[in-house]
Amino acid sequence: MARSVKDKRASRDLPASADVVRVRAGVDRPMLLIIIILLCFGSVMVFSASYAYAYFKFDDSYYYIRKQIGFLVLGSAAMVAVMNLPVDLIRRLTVPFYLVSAGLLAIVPAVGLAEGEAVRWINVGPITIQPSELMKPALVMILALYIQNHQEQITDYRHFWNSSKYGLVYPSFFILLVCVLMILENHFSGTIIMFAIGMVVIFAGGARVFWFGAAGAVFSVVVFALIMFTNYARERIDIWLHPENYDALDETWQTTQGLYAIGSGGWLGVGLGNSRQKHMFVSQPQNDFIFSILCEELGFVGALSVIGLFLCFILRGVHIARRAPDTYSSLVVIGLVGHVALQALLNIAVVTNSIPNTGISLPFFSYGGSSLVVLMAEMGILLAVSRYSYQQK
Amino acid sequence: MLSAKTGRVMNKRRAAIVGFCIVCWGALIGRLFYLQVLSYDTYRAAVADNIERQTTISATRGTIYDRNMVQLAYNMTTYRVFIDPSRIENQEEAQFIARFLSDTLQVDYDTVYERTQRSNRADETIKKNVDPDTADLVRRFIAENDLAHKIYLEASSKRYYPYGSLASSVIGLSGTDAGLAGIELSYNEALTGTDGRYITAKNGNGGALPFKYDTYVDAINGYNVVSTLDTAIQAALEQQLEAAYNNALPTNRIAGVVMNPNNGEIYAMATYPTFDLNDPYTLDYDSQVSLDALNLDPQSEEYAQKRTDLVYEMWKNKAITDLYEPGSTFKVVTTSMALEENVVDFDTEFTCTGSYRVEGWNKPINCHKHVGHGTHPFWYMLQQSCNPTLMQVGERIGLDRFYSYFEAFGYTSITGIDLPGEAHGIYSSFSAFNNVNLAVYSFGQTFSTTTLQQITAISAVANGGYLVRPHVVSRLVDDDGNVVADFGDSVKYQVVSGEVCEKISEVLEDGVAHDGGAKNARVNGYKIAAKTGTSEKRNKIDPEGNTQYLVCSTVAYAPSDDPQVAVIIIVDEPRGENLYGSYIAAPFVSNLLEEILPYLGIERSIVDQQVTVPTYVGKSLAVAETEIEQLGLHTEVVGEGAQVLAQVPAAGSRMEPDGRVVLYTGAEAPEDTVVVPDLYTLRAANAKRELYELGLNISFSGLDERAAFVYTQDIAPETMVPRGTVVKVKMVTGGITDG
Repeated sequence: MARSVKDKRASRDLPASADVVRVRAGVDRPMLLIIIILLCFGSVMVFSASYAYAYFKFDDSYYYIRKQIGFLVLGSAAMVAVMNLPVDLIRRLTVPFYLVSAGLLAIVPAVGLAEGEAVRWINVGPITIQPSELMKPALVMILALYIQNHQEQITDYRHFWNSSKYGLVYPSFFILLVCVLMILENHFSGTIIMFAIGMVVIFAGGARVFWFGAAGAVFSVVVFALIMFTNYARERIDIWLHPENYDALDETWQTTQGLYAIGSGGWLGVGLGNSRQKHMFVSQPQNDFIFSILCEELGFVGALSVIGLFLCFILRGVHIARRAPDTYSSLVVIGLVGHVALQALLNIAVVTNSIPNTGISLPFFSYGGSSLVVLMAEMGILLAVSRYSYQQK
Repeated sequence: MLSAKTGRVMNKRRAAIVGFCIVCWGALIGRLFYLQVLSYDTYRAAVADNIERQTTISATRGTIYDRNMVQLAYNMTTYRVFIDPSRIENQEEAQFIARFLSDTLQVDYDTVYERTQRSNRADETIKKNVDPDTADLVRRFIAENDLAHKIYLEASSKRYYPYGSLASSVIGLSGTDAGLAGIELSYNEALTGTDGRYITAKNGNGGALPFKYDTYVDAINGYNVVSTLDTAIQAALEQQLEAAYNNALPTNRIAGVVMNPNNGEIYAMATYPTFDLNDPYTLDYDSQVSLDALNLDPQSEEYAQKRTDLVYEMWKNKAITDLYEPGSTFKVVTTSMALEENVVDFDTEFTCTGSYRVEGWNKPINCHKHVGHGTHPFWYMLQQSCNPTLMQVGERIGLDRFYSYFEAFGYTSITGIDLPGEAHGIYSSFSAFNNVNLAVYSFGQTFSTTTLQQITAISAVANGGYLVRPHVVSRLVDDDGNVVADFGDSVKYQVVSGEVCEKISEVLEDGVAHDGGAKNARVNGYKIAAKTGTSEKRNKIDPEGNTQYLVCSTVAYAPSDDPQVAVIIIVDEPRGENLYGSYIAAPFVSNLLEEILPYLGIERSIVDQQVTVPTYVGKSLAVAETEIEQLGLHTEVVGEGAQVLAQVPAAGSRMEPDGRVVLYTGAEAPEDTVVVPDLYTLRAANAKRELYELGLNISFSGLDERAAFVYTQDIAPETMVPRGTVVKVKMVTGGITDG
């Protein structure tokens, strides 16, 4: 600990020119390797999970994997490009990026209104952009920037109100703006993710723990009250706990079939490609429920290896964050790692019916064109920061 | 820039985040472990249930054969024809379909048409149990008119009994998947086999899966049962039971068994009236009459209950399920005990005064011959079936020995035949067995047994003293003809010695051949050992309360010096006069033996005066005429030709030597032109004259004494037959009493 504090102090004391020297250093190899493994693993699973559905839907088993590889190439280009950007440049682009993302996000409900139904995408020529995906790194970055600029006030815990104001209230506006736009899109799960990512950054940035405790308490009371006093909530809970009794509902059908897939995997699974549940039982198995097919085909061991990879990713990410040259880059890394970790956690929790069903995809694994590109660009940012992580000798 | 304080805080926060992540991921790992490892079986089954479509492949129920591999019961594919009215497009089509189906399936047009109009239905049965040929017509109609989703055929298997009512109570019957009675029930497990299954997988939309998942488990067909029954003997037995029934109109059916006394194989076993295996729920005439006599509302529950009771009664195999008191036929058994124990021999003289007093009973016990038989040797008394003689013999045997033989002959157990529902006899326990029991048991009264038990005991005397286990199935074979199980050996143990049995057979045969009480069982040319019996049903009194119901029976085996076949017929509650086994049952036993002994290849050992007609067809007229003359027969020629083209009677027929043979030499052929007269009760000479006047021939069977009269004739009165046809008549005497 002492040594790391010393490191931080050392990096803080370094002149700006020292950064430039380290930009030339290589990216964090272990992290790069973890990302590549996750991407490869994910692509294999997308192919395995999608081919039956693709064959059924498009008469072409390779429909999704072909597109996925296309996005992978695009994403790789984005990742390589971004990881070679200087962190300073990234920091300077933060505000414009946030504004553009917020703008696009604001356009979506308008487009939706015009088309008469809620949409989450906008088409720019041949490219479909999902602004909420762009918004995730944008939110992380803007919060990180804000916290870096106000770190003294935030961590000055002697002044309760002042530290709360800077640590929680002001940054909450960035988050709230995004959440409101997401709600306008009718994108509930996205709202939750966005909110959670924001909270992770604020928390990591040093906001008073009191508020998180208070928020947790209030949240618990509200949920408890809802369950006690409204039938709707009770019914949702019952659907969650006993999805097999609500087969008629699409989402519970999906949950039940997903559980069948997971449970029938056993220790070692039925073998890659041999899933039975992907044959039109788990619908769109390449999307949010891809993990259930993975569990079925590769078993508990396969599932553990995926979780292991994500844990490696988190630990290595935190390692990079710890060695980051400044508060901004450190928080950006924490935010991006938090984004991946949260989404993976929530996705697997949903798929295993540990929490009620919401539409959250599994990073690196779920098929999803533009979001893969954005995810890989985010990894680019993470790797860009990792260049600074190497200890200067 | 990073401040020292911020750095410390952020370190802590990162650690907290990592900790939080580890906790959450740990929980998820636990959850996955629960789902994938602990709940594996549940989910595996759920997925299998999801994707598997299982089709049962029915095992074919085994065939039941008679001893000559004639099929008695087998499975037939039948079809259910049904329509899907919801798919029928318009009235024109409905009428088209209805017209075809009503014509092809012989179903009322309006009924079919009405079904086509039930447009909210998807499955309306038009006809069940449609045979394969008719089903083919329907299939072709469907194909030619493109009606695939409008008319359907559904195959299923139906048990079919080609002989209908033949041996019905032995074969038993089978429901859709299990036997209900008889061999079908007792060998159900062997006949059933094991169903196979075809498991295939389907995706969530019911489509085929791209990978190979099919599992095919072959059905194991049931074993085929080869019974000991002989269709020809069974038919002969049933024919005689029917004749005996029509003769005496008994109120409680007739049972008969034909078995091989040496190994217990049942050649035939029947109950009359009986039922049709292919229509087992239709009551026989008598049962229907008795049901109708109750005057119940046919819709009432009581009626249905009563009807069900009668159906079950009708399905019974009387020879093994119903008890009766054997009466005098049991005297054979008592005699064997006495001879075996050397307490008497056949020359021992006994005196009968018409009744006999037994210590412990306050009244004398009567003989059926009330004036008494006088004093005669035992052999004569046995032939005459004298009750006081047998009571005395019983006394000499003594309580202990009598009872142990009684047990040894099987009367205190069941025969163990491989058929369901065998009844257990009713008899005194040894501790309660006393002098009075002994006296009446000696002539077969006051204990009860089954028809089968009785013929099994008699068979022991016939075969040299061995008790056998009667059985109706000799072996099980699989579809490739391999013997899976063989039930050949069935001798249990020896009860009495061979010498004793030989002596008894001689005495019984002598009685049949001469003037014994069982002489009506005589079959010309064969040595028949027989004993008749008549017993009272002491537990059943008729509505007037005076006449007791009787059971008249006869047991016989032949040839007496080398028995190949043993027969029993019991007539339960006969009506009319002269109700003795010698009159009600013996002539039919005789008729039966006369038919089955030649069938079993047993040659006549006694030459009689009857001639057997040789083949004349193909010979020149002159040669034929000469040969006929040499036999002492007369010739009648029809036609102008020189070659014999046809003859009546047929070659092999037996007839009286002064009869006539009608030879056809021209274009004419034998025609049914003569009406057979009713010869019942006519003396031999009268019967012969009446037939000769009509241009028919006669063949006598049975007694040739002056008092004998025609009792049965093989061609029913009023039947039209060609000239020259031989009418075979059974000559019997009445008035022979027996006990």
